Amino acid sequence: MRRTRWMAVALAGALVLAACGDDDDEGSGSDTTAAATTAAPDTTAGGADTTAAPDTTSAPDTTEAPDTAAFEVDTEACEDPDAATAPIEGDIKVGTSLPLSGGPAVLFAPYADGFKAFWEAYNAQGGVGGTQKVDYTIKDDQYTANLTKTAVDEMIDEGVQVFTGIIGSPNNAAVRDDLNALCYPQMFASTGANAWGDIESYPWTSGLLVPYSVESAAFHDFALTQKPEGGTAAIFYVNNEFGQAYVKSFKKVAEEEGLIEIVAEEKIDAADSGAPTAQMTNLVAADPDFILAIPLGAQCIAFMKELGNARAANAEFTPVVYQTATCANPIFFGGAGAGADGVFTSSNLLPEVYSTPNPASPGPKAYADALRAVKGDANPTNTAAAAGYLAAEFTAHVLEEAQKSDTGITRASVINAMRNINFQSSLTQPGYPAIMNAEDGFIGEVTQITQWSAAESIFKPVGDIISFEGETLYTD
Amino acid sequence: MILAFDTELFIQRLVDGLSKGSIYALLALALVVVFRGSGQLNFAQGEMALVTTYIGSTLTLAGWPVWLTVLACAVTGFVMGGAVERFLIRPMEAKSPFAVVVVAIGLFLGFNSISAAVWGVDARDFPSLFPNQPDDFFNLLGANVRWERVGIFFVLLGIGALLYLLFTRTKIGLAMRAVANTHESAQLVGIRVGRVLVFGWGLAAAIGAVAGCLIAPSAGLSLSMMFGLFIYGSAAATLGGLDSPLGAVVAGLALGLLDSMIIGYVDIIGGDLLLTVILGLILLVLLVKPSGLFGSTRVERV
Amino acid sequence: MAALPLNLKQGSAVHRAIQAVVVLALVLFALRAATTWNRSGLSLLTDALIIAIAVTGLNLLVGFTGQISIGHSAFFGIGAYTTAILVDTYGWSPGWTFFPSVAVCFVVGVVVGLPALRLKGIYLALVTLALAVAFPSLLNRYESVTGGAEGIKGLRYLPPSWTGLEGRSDLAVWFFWLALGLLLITSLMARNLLRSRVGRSMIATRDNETAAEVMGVNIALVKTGVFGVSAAMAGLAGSVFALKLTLVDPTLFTLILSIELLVGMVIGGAALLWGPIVGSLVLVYGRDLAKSIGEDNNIDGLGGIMFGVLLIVLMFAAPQGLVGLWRRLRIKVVRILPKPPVSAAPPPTPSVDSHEPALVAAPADPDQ
Repeated sequence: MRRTRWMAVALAGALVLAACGDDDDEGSGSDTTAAATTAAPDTTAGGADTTAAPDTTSAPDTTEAPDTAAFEVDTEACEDPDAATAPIEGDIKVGTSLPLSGGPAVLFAPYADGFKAFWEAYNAQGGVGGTQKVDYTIKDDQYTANLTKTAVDEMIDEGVQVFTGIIGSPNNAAVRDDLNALCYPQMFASTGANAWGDIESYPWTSGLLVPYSVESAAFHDFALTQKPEGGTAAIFYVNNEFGQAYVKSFKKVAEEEGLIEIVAEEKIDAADSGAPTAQMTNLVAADPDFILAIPLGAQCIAFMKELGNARAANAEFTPVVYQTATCANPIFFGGAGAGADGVFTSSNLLPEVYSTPNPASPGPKAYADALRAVKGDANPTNTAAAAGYLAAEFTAHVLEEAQKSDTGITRASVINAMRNINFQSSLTQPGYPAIMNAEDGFIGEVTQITQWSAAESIFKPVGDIISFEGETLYTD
Repeated sequence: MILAFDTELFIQRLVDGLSKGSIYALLALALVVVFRGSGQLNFAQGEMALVTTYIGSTLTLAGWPVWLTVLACAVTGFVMGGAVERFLIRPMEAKSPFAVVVVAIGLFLGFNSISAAVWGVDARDFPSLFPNQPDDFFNLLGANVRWERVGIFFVLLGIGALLYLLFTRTKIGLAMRAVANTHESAQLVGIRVGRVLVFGWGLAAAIGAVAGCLIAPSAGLSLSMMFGLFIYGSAAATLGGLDSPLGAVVAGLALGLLDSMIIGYVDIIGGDLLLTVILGLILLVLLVKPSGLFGSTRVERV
Repeated sequence: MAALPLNLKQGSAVHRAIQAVVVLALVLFALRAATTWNRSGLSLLTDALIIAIAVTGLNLLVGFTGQISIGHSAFFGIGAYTTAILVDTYGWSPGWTFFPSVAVCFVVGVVVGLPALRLKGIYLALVTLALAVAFPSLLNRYESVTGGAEGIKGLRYLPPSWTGLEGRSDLAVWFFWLALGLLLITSLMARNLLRSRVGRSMIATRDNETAAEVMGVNIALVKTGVFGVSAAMAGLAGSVFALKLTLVDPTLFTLILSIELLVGMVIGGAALLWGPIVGSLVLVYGRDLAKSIGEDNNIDGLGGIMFGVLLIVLMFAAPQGLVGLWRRLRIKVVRILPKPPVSAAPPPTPSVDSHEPALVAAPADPDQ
């Protein structure tokens, strides 16, 4: 027993040593960004900002070289300023970390396909400026933050220069400090959280998607167009970061406007794969005018089936139902049968992208072709694939702009180009380019409400495009 | 909070609970069969059912009628379960109980990944054995009862009854109990231990396969379909007593009812804390009755 | 030269020499890793070391005391969150949070151990399952304390100045040494615990509880105490984990983690002292390898299939774990004969080198 005691003392001593001399004065690292509505995997539809940009043909972009006066990153703050400003010649190494396996993969595997599809087609046409191809790396992090860190560390060691399109709020958060300190671009974080707009603390990081707050606000406004006098609303949501973010945003908007009263909140556990019958019974009992549904993955199907059952059994139960854009996927809505009919959701993509697997217009067609080239049986109407494609397309544009700058492509010029972006993607509504500048850290503030038609098996746009451009809906 | 007691709503919740509970009970039955027949728990039971359900999906897409598909799934499940026992579990059992657990975990992961590899990561629809359209319901004292749910309930009762008869009235049922106790003694009495074990695991897997086909229509068939339900099934099996089919049925239905009532009447506990609360309640029961509600207490010989 | 197996007396010069060589090799390896390996490689190794600390604790409880726990993810998480909350909300210096973390986890562990006095086997497993399931759900709920589903971000633990390491770029090295050091101390504590009277009580409890009780072992104290110690170790690992990752959130501490810890224990060898370390290395590197395979090709789930197959193959090849396998092979070459006990008992026969874990009915000797 004596030895054990000595060991305990030694352990205590070691811990004391580890504790002492801590020179971390940075206030124990409370998160400096307003992370109120960080959310879970919103990667697909409804996400990306919708600037209309030329598609994969490397037609010269109409904007000029980035206006460096608008935003310029401070490379002196970097650990290695020379590395941050060193020119990148030859193939540009771009990396991302995505959930390829594990639970959430059901939602995101197509994102990886879309991402890949874009680069393959882009490289085939010569790459950036026709002169530099993109050597892309996709690593698997199973949507787990510590695996994202491992993946990013590995990619840094493998020489990746630019990170883009990483999915997930905790995942981006886990690597944000390192990437900003080491001055690596962390572009287009694919999550709807608001936290990615903090230019001051994290100049090297930016978001991509419509923040969840925008989606909530869009639904709120849309609901008022259906019932201008307002009414009652119920929320059904998965109780994780993703669901909570939506709920907070919606409650805030509802409170501010004061026209919609929330009368019921039903939660479901992320791992609960059964039909939410009990919750639906509660919703029917509350009899709301509107329902905001934020389930996760296959729960989308189960929820809409229950909805159909409830509507059939209760003639007076006729709420306006909105499903989160992450469910906005013909596979989910189609799989739910009659229950999905008339359910609303949103998207910022061109209707052709989500309504037909064989689009005709050039942008969507190029996307569909590219997607099938990497995966023959892929479904282009799966908006997750479109989101991945979009992230890559944005990245390519930024690289092109950086190439045109005085310094050519360097890590710093990439970030400068990104922060001064003004780009219209090939898959999004024309007239609403993605814009960022020194003040506006958000890229996606535009969306379009759509409605599913079970008879035709497609989403149809409803009403006008809703834009919150410039109004940073930072909920805290 | 409900101020006036709404009877209709209560009955609706009762019905909801029984339908949820039927699924839990089915999974619990599968686990009880394995435990009763071999003294082991099949940790990979859920994922095996997932694979058979995916196979079923392929069959239905090829045009097979649902009832035939379910039968085919059950048979496939039986073969899979028996093979797993014979070739993967039994060799390990002799060497180390821990190794059995890890093999089961490996199977769990393997089956789930095979499903991903062969059928992709998407979620898909699965046709139901029973009428499943939104308007396939009838009214019972003001509650709406869906035919599909009634069907599942009766399937549960049927399987439960059959198992009860199997265990108490047939020779093989008795043999299973002997084998679960000790292999050596069973062998001494002339029981073909190997055959009994294979049968037990196969039967359990068949039940699991049927359960999968019954769950998929309303839950949507996806890679994560079985995991949460399997936990509930395990909880129900434990609550009921691991060697009691009656216990599995009662406990499964009870958990379903608890689920429904808690979501309906206890606002503080939302759908997300449900499993936590349920497990807590089970724990309390176990502290009073350590072998579960209907489990047989083992007498420890010194 | 004598015929194999070679018999060495424990504590003899040759024995000590071999031990010294092994230790030296490990030290050299560690130094080489810390100085020449790249960040990601070192970081992955550190992850394995952190897991090993938790598995060491689990091993004491499951391997040596015969209890079951699939709830250690909760202890790991409690440690992590204790550190996170103290650092983020109360401004503690990160290093000091290890103490409260260990203390809190010990207490919770003892409390969780109470049902173990009444329940066994699967039924006990259910209790620990409840813990594993409840923990993330409760974290999600009690936002004001835990940051809810978003968790707590921005934890920073820069190397103290006395280490001579420079801030951020040396973070990987710092965490490597920290994890390694804590692992060594934890393992040595475990070893000493097992060699003591408490250790023998643990093993007696595992092998035959009734007999142990009859012989005067205080079963209640042993079970709850070991639950506490085991939980404390997992909590310590969790604290380091949180600081290395710089954030905590509920999705990191789920049932899956508990299962991984159990797998790590068994792969290495339950009830064998160095089992946790080997097992954790195999777990972390195996998982990484499986992921790489999955990344490199178009078949979804290939990585998972490979890892599942790996687990099954490992169990067939080494049902007592890799360390158990190593032992069985080594015994054919070299045997360490323990010193006779100090009491007046007759000297043991030379075939006493029975290192098999208790599952094969021989008392396990924690000595390696």
